[in-house]
Amino acid sequence: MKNQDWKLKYQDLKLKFHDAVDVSFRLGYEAGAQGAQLQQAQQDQAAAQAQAGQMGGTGEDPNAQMEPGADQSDGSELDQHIGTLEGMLNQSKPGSPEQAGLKKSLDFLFGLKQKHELRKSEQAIKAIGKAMKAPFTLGKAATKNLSESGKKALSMQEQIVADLMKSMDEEEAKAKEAITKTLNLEQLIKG
Amino acid sequence: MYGISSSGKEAIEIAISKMFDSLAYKFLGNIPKLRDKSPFFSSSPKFSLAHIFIQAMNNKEPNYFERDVLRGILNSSYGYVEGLKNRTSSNIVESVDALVREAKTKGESISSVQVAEVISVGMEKAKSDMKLIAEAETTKTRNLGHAMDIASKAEQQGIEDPTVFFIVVRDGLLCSECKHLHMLEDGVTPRVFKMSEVSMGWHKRGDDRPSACGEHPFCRCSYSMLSPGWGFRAGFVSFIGEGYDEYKKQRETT
Repeated sequence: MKNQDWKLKYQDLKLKFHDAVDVSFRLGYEAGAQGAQLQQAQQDQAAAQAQAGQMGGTGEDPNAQMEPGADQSDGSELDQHIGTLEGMLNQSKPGSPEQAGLKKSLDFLFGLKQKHELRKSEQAIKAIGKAMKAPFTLGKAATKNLSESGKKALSMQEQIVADLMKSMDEEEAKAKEAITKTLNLEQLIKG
Repeated sequence: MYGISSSGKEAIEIAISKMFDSLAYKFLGNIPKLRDKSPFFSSSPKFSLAHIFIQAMNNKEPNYFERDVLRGILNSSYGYVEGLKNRTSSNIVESVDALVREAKTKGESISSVQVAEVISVGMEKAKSDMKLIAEAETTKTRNLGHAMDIASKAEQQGIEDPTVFFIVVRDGLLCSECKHLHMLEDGVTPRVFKMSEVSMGWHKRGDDRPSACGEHPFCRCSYSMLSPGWGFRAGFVSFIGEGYDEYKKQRETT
């Protein structure tokens, strides 16, 4: 019973974690894409300045300004490369050796991305597992010092709280149903 | 603009009230205040606060005074649940009413999904409070049961102010507060107190007096008595010798 609850909690946290990773990944990707656009714009500007002979003696490297953007996650960088390759693949001639080469590179990058994501997930799951509430156990010293009656009382405490919270979920569903019925009777709910 | 009718609000309050009465019954057992509301309770709870109290008292039949202590515990716990019930009921009625009013202002109707969402928000807070109440009250009840047992044993042995200590559960969940209060600096030997030194109210973090009610909600430390002549060897309760006083020894060395 306790194990099942623990598993459920673990799975719930795992799902939440995956959601969080998805969101972070998307945000990272968007930030990466924005950074890339900015970098491209700056490079274009620098090239235009160089062409016009207006670089001057500032010695500034336009790429140096992008340093803060350089801490994008590996995932978003990889996504950028994948995106570029996909674009090139779409533009290439079907059946040409160039397309075959690009496809091979793309498959390799997809493999890398998958590995990277798996590694990140594995590390995060390990961390979550560590941070999660450990199953209820009695320590060695407690087992020795605590009377049988004390041990039972302690287990009972754990069980009472767990049972009560389970009942609360069931009762909440009943209350929701009753409230919805009331609002239906008052013709306040559509449908 | 009209929201829910007064009878509708009353019906919502009754639904929430039923929910909390049922939970209180499961938590506290068949106490007099709940007996009048019993028609919808079909079965007795497997374990309740009353069970934990008796179990902590070494499973013995409580005498008049112990029954009175138990009655007091159940009444105060019921008070907390009642308080939460009233607060939750008001919150949910207000939230649903506001939802209805807003919809009516826009000339729309509300959906059952919107209602469920509003109730869920109110219930989330109630759940977290209920868990806190359950954890704090079970801890308090268990340790007060142990305290009753200690008082009765001490009386039998003719000890006016017994030496007591807390048995911690040594695992990764043992908190620093419990460790500091219940263990000596060696991290192995339990710290002993006279029963008169132990606080009977809720513990405040940082206070150097442990509390018989537990140091925090869901504190797993158990209150126990150390008989004269007994002490600790490597953290385990052991008989040291006739006339040995662990309390005196600990106070002399610290």
